Amino acid sequence: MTPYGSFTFFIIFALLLAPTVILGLKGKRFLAYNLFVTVVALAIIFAGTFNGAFALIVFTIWQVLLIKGYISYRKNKNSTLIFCLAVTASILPLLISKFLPFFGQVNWIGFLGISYLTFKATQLVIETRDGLIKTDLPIIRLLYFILFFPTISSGPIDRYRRFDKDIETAIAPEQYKLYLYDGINKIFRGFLYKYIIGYAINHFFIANIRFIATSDFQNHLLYMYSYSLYLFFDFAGYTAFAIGFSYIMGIRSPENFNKPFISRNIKDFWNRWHMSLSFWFRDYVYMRFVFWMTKKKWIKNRNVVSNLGYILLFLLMGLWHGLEIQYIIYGLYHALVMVAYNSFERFNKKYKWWPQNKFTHIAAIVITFHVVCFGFYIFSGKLIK
Amino acid sequence: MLTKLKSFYEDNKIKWFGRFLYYFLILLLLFFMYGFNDASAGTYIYNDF
Repeated sequence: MTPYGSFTFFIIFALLLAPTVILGLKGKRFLAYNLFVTVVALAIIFAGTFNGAFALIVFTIWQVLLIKGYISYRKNKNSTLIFCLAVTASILPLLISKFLPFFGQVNWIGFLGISYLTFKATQLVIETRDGLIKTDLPIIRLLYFILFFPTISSGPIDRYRRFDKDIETAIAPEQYKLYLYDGINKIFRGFLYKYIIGYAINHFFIANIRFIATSDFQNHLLYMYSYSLYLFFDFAGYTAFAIGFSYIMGIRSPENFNKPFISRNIKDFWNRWHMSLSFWFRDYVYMRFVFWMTKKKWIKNRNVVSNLGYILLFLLMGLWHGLEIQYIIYGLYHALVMVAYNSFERFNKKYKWWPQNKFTHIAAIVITFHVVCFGFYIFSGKLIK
Repeated sequence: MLTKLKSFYEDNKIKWFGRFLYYFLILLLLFFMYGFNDASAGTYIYNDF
């Protein structure tokens, strides 16, 4: 069963989470019950796909052994080679699952949410290397973090230390009331975004675009805007459900969207769109690359290093979506836009060519919106076809 | 005028009514769009990645 994919899903989970709500409102701890719900939820989500369920179990065992093994290794030693091997081993299942369909093979290793589970597991390896995780992680908590069902299929990507703090904190009834209220509010927002607006855009507009448009160019233009909005309402709707369910379970999963279509520039956009993913890439790819290049002093110009970091980040982000040409071009497009904006920002700092006032603020939002929509148009695959 | 409008919007009863209306309209729209059938809004785009 697809998470948040049908009304039946919501009815089942309203019943399953009712004891969580009662315990929360009475101020009692509900971790044990939530663990039970997580197991039931995983069984429901993966019930129809034996291969998916089997792959998930093997994947989880692999990642847990890897994380536990690396934590105990890191207590005494800190070899870069071992760290690189651990990271490679952590992302290996995801890499195989991306490559298999590309070569026309059956994707026996893939399952719903493999990417997001990999991001969480790899993050633990990297944070152990950085010395942020020093002690052994209790197996139950580690499994709860990796397999936390509200965010299993498409995030948001949480951080272990933040997640663990939420588990540790005892929630008072008054506090839980706010969580519950926020959670329900987000679930309703999810219904509005995914089931009403997203559905209406896709079924009433995109499906009929060839009858609405009067020319081929208009067809592509209308598709570009409508697909961008559809993608936002679809994904933001899913995220609202995921965060809403998390709140009801006492976990404040991070936000993924913050009004992305009012971004003033491309940097601002990536701080507002799919935030948990862009922050993951920023922290574990871009920052590490810049730090490494600065330390090794291979390239001394900081702007060149920064631009190379952006190119690497967006290329990897594009490739993560898939090996299809539209995703690679999408990554390259955003890398180029980011490098161009970076250069413009430096130029403008020096020459004050673009003044700061209300008019330029609105103009910047309009320009960014169009640049971003064109990116989604590439992403949709319609440009390449 | 602005203060009056502000206090009007900050009134708890108004806030409660606004929320009620918001939730009610969403439920009403869901009912009009899907009736008593299970939803067919399609899968999520990002589930493929």
